[in-house]
Amino acid sequence: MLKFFNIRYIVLASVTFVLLYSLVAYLLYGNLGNKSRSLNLLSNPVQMIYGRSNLVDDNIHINLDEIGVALTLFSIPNLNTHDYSQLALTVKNLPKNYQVKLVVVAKGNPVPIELPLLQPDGGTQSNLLINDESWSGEIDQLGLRFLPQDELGLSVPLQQQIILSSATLNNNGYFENYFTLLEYWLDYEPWSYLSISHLKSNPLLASYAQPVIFVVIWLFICLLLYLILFKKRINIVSIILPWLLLDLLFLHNMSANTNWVQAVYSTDDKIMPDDDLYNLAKGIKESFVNKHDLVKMKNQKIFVLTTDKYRGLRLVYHLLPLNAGFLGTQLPEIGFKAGDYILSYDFPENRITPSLGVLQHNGISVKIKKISNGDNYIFMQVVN
Amino acid sequence: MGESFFIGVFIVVAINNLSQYFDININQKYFFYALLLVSAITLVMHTYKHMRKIFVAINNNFNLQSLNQIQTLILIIIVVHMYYIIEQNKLLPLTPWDAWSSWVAKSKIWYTYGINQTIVNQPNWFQIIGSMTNQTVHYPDGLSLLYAFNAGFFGWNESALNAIYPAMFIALMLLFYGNIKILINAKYAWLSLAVLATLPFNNVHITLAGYADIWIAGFIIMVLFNFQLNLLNRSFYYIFVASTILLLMLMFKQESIVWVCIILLTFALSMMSFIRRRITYFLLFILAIIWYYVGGFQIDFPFGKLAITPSLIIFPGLGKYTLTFVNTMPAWLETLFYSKNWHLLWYSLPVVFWLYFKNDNKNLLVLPAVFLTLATLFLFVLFNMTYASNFANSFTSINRIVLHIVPVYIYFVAQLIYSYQTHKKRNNSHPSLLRRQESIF
Repeated sequence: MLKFFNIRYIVLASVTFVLLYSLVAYLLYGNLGNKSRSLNLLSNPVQMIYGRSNLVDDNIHINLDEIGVALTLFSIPNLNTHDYSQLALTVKNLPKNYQVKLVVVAKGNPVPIELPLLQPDGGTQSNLLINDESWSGEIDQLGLRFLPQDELGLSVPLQQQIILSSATLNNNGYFENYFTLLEYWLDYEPWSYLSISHLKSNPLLASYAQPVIFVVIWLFICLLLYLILFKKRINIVSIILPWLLLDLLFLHNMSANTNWVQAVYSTDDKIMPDDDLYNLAKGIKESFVNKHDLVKMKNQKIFVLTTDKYRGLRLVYHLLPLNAGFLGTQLPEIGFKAGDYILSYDFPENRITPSLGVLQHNGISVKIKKISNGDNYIFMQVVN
Repeated sequence: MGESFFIGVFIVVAINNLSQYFDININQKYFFYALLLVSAITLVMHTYKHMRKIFVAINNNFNLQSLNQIQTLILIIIVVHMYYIIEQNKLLPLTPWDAWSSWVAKSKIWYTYGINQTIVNQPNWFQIIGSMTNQTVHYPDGLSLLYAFNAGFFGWNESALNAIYPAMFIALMLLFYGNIKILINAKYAWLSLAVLATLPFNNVHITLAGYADIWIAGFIIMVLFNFQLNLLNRSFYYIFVASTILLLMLMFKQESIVWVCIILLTFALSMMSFIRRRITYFLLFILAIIWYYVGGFQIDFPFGKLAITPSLIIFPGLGKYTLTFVNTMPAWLETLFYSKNWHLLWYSLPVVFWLYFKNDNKNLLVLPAVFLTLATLFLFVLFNMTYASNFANSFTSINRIVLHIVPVYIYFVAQLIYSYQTHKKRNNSHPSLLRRQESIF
């Protein structure tokens, strides 16, 4: 065992790791020639756009609004982004499925931009701002938005008070931020729909600080030093160690994702981001399908009309086993027969709506009878 | 054991596909129980007949006390990965877009109306009363039929139906370990298994179940293992298993036809002697030049037109692809070397090239090497010359197609390192399959 775990290599790898980590952390957080500055964003009262706040012992206690979101704006003088490279933030009592985003309104551009920040863990964290291209030029307004993570498209809001203890812009703090690079590596990344196609790198980190690149550089330096210093053959442990490090980082995120999945989906109630569509489809199925007469229902088609392809296809899936098909916004020239159904789903301004018992679109007219309607849908039946 | 799982999948899909062809509705619940009963009886009879052999095999292969520290560490890592995968997989509903909108939607129709329910494209759906529609009606039904089969037992419960993915991954790991143990040795089998089980992209494909790509990856490596073993032992059994899985591959994904062509060409080239192979490479090279200068070829078959020209590819049933060069190199670099998909796997490429050209003993390397070369050529044409370049630059399919060849690449690297080490220690090495193979060639 000891022979396998080449002690000399492990010591060399550990020392090299610490040195390389220190160098990368310095490149990220060191005050590279700029004059040291800091700006306390909480020195003046904050303005709440969504949610409410109250000051308790110099901490700002934030209550989320009814949909579980809060937006606070700081009273700041005009500032130049070149003077500040980091935002040190202390946020307490934030659940794991919540995120904080920095809201930036640049001078001359009233459209706010949101920068992702590290998942707050109760302590003070330094967020790198300079690697985001949006952090440039003069800033008019700066704020923080608290919102649920969009995990697999699902946001689960909570009505929990959040405590904002400190928010400071600065451009230095190497020793205080020594472990922040590790925090970036361990930052929680919830699954998204794209995860099954691609596990992206962290856009806020410089390329040399990405875990894979860092590990490759580390491995290369270790192997080179080992060959020079000890003139020995390379042991398999030289590959196992960096692989293990990357794997532990991945497992850390797997663990966090597992916790979220367990918290949300442990019950039989499989809530989905499109629960509104599911409930609409369920309502239609329950009111129109006689379970013992599936064959009859199969002969009556449901045409789903919507501009949104995702929602259209989801409706078709939720409507199964009813005989539904997604048409987009095109009414077919043939195919309608009396007894078929049309489900027009969209925001009212986009929705294809009937007038005086006739649904008319793209030069095609169909006589219909309205069966039910809601905020975003009209359900109709084709008549002779 | 791992291979049996895939053969079982073939039996289920083939029977269901045949019953669809003859318009017979097989009740999936009874089918499930019938197959379970047959499997149980077969297992009991086989165990009774070969009890002694089985106990010896179990003792040799599954004796935890015989594991050394590294194997124990690998086993723990794999168990941790599988825990997180299974824990999420068993709770999550069906999430990947193509799964719910396509393959699983079809099986939901068959679950309700029987597997002989006609599903047609939209223009026909408008006209045929009682028909149902789906956007992937032209696609093979393997995965849909497998979901329909499982629904016979579980009912329509998306989370329970997704459990087939961890089961498949366990089967894949078993066959991966077992075959590498036969073709190389246990040490390399454990290390290769660790790589396969820990790759983040593999983990995600099992966790967020629903895509066919991990299945295709399993089929390809299983076919290549069987072809490799056939090259060593010349047994019809391996050809039979490989052919079965090639058929199964075609039942799962339309694009599999390309993989089948590549695998068959690879096998044909691997069967040749060194000299003949070199002559064939040369002839293929000459043919490629002639093909380019005469502007390719077009053949009209009864089932459609086949055209392969420098500017256009038409495959019957697969579609028409205009060939224009699109630079997708940044996407390739990001996906293989910069993102979190593959750990350090693709950083081994320079070492692989170096070892391959330094290695004099390439006998067992020919099959995976030719396959990987042809696969790379295919991926280059697909993602740099066709419309699929959009899916490379958007990262929506580049990793998924790369996933198809990942187990083969891991096996190739293991075989390469082993061959190189064996070559270096040739004088005092113990007898191995490598030597047996040398005698064949």
